[in-house]
Amino acid sequence: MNRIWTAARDEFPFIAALPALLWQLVFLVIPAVVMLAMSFISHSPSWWPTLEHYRQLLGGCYFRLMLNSYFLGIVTVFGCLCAAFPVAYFVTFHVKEHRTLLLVLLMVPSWTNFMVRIYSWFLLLERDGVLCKFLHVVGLLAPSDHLLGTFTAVIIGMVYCYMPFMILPMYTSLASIDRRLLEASADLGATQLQTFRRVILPLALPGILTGSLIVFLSAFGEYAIPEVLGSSRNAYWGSAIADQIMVLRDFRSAAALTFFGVCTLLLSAGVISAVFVLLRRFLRMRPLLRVSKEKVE
Amino acid sequence: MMVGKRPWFSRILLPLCTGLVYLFMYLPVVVLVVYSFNGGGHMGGWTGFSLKWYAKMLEAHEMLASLKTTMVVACYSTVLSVGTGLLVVVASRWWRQPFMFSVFYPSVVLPEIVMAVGLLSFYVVTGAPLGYCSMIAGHTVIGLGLAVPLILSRFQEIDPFLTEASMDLGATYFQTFYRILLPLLSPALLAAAFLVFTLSMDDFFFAFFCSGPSLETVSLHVFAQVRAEIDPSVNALSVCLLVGSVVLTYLLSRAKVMDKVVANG
Repeated sequence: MNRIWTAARDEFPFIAALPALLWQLVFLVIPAVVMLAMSFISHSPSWWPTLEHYRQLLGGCYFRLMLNSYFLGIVTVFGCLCAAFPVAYFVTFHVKEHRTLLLVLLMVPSWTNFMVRIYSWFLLLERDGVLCKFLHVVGLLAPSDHLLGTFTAVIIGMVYCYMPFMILPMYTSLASIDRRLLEASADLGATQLQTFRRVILPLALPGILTGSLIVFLSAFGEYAIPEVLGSSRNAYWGSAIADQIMVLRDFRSAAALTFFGVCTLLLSAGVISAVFVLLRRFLRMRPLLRVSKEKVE
Repeated sequence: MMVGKRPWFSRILLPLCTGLVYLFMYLPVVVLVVYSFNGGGHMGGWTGFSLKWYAKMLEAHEMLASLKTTMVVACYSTVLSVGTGLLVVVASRWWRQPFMFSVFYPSVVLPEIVMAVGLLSFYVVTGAPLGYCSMIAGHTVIGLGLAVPLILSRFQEIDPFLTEASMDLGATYFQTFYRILLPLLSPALLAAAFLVFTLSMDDFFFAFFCSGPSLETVSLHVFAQVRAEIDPSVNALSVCLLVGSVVLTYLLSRAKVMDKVVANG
């Protein structure tokens, strides 16, 4: 017994590393393999290898689903960028103290429950909801129109739920910018706009990229928000998967759909990162300050 | 910065935009709180202050059961992912394999629905019963993806000479762990626990796919309510959840953990 105890003590690092690694293996890696395998197994001659699920996908509405999901993801990323950047910028450069507190205040509503947040927008946007009534009174919305069930409502919900994922990486990269760079840029005669474009934006780009990718990837697979706030059923990739599983009980087609979607997604993530890398190189390659160059000449 | 020279867009437009975003974030919260105290429920206008939805909430057994399920699942997955995550990070100082940590990153990048579908097909093939355990397994996977990088980044800041000195002076692995590493890591651990807990509370897909027919989490309960007829005591429950998150946030910011949460969220 004593010998076992000694052995266990000496092997502590290995034993300690095992649970987490095994957990990821059993509940992440193996399920992924199982899912991939299932997508190649046919229904009618049971357990027979087949490509029928993929054939059906490509013959059916797959491309429409993907396009819809891309559109949803891109509009959400754009909305999040527009909402998050001013806040991150303001908090980083124009607030002297309690920066963390300000950001935490922004996060508190998102630390309740995802569904509750969507539900509260449901209350606001429905026909008798406060926001809808307000817009009717102000005249921004025709009395016959309503917001719930429109694409606008879906986007509002998406931006509301995903903005925290955008704002935090953005803030982290903005806050890590060395202030002396900004002073140097100003000393060398750059205007604020030039400093912003030539110094701040290139340095903030990694954070913006991280945030955009996280938001895009999660928004792409969203199901609940379009389901609650939107009207068109089965318009998106996530809702099609959920429908296959919860309604049709067809796990193999759902696996094929999921796997195909992930491949498309990884491809597009690669394209997005490439675009950002090129953009960054483009922003850097321009002569940093044209003013100083002219002075030298 | 140069306050006098700031152009109009940074002097006026920037604070205005920031204010609007804060309004955007808090508008639904305010509406939720107001409706939860409204005697007439959420339809129609304000009919007077009342606490009746809170009283109704205490009688709504299904809803309370869903709250209990959510809490149980969140607690288990938090303990599991922070505990095993801590162990694997600490162990990596002595036993390190080249791609050991890459197994934790797919759950950060992949959409949740993919992992949930994968897990469900795994359960279907193996015939495992759906319930608490199937949900906790999934939440721990995404929790590890969040906790391990956070704990690892703090762990790498710790001077390796500290552990070396401790071992040289005759401490065992366990003593080094308890006396040296645990105190230094505790802020990161609290931040990780908080993030995993909120992630698990927030989750929809794992509950939707892997909870089985008999269990219901808060997300599923509210989802079902929105699609059918809404019981206004959901408002009261939401306000309680909100108060809980505010209290937790306050306690953690007193413990100076929020900087870590903001940096890693």
